Amino acid sequence: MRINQELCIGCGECLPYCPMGAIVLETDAAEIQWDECVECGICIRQIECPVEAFYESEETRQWPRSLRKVFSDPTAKHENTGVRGRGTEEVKTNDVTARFKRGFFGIALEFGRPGVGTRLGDVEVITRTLAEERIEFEPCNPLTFLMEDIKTGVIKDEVRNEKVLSAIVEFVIPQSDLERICTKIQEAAERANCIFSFGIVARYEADGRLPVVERLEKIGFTVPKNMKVNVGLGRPLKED
Amino acid sequence: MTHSLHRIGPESSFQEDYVFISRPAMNFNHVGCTPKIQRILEILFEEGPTNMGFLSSQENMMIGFDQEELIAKTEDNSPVMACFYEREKLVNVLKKLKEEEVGISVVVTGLVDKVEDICNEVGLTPHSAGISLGVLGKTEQLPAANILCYTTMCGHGMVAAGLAKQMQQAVKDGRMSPEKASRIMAKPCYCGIFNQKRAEKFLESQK
Repeated sequence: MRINQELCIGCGECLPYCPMGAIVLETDAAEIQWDECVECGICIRQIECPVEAFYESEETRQWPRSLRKVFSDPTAKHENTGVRGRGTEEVKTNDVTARFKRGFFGIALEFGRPGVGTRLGDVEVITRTLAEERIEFEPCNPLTFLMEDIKTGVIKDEVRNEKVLSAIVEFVIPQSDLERICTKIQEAAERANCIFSFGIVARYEADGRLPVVERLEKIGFTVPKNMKVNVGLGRPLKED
Repeated sequence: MTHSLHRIGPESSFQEDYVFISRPAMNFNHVGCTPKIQRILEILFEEGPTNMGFLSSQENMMIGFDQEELIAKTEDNSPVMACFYEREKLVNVLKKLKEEEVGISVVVTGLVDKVEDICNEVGLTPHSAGISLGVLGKTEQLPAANILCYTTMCGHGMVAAGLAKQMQQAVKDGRMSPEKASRIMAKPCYCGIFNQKRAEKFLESQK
């Protein structure tokens, strides 16, 4: 996004709305720090600029900057990567898709959230580690598409510096690998130059228990009580 | 695998916070789903959620929307997203969806014991659970916890820390009511899962 310097009256009303804090007012007119902007579009959509100074420039739509918008603007589509949405439907439709079956766990690492953003290249500290562990990255995920080689987890050079609000790494592991993979992720996180939210999806057991919680607590995670539960209303119900 | 999963705040703040998301599974059961999604919307409109949003039209309950127009614009892959402050309203929605055998997947994010209780009351068997294991990495980059409790309520990170700080200060200074401040914060969240009643409580307690 850009602010038309001729139009801006420097009222500063827009400053707090940017999730990246990329709008600054250092002269008579507000400016967007171009390299910090993730093109989420909240400024142009939500701020009631009295002079309508915000505009989307042609550069926003040019590769590789165009990636910023599709990874950051929830109203945009992943046309560059050929994948819709930031990731899969994960637990939301698991009763119908059986994406995560009993005996397996789904893992999602959402980089840049909450509220910080990430350079796509910074994700590599984790994707390389996971690749060494022979993780198979989710093919229906736009970040997987941006890897030079999914066997190494290396991100393509041309996109490394693009800053986005959110990029999700998704994969499935057998239950037996839980402790090993979680520990590897924790170790790699120590070297990270960015943040990520760590999520896991588990099937309820037939007796209604979620034994994964106890296993996670044993390896040092504090498991919050707030969870996202698929309540089993989807049809046809796909059994494991 | 995220969206409503990583809401931050003390456990007590989730006592009256339930996120409802329903969507068909693409390439599994989405074809011809429009009438089913429209029925889900009707049921939600009947019960009256705390907030509700639509990415396609970039609207939520704080911005305002035309119910009939939204129903008319529904497509086979439209998601339905809302949040509830009142448990009973959510229970009623789930009961109707079960009775009418609508057949579209639903996730409810909330305190797991309470969500399981609701499932038990409605006669549902919880299928799977998304579990947050927190934020890792360079966490010194994060805003303070008393700001994250607001910003993490938008499933797409559209509520800025700067806006939360500004609203918090306006309430502290007595320039704005918690209700008005929470409604302003909820506007950028088009997925409509920003629970402005929960935000109001935070603002009251942070005065």
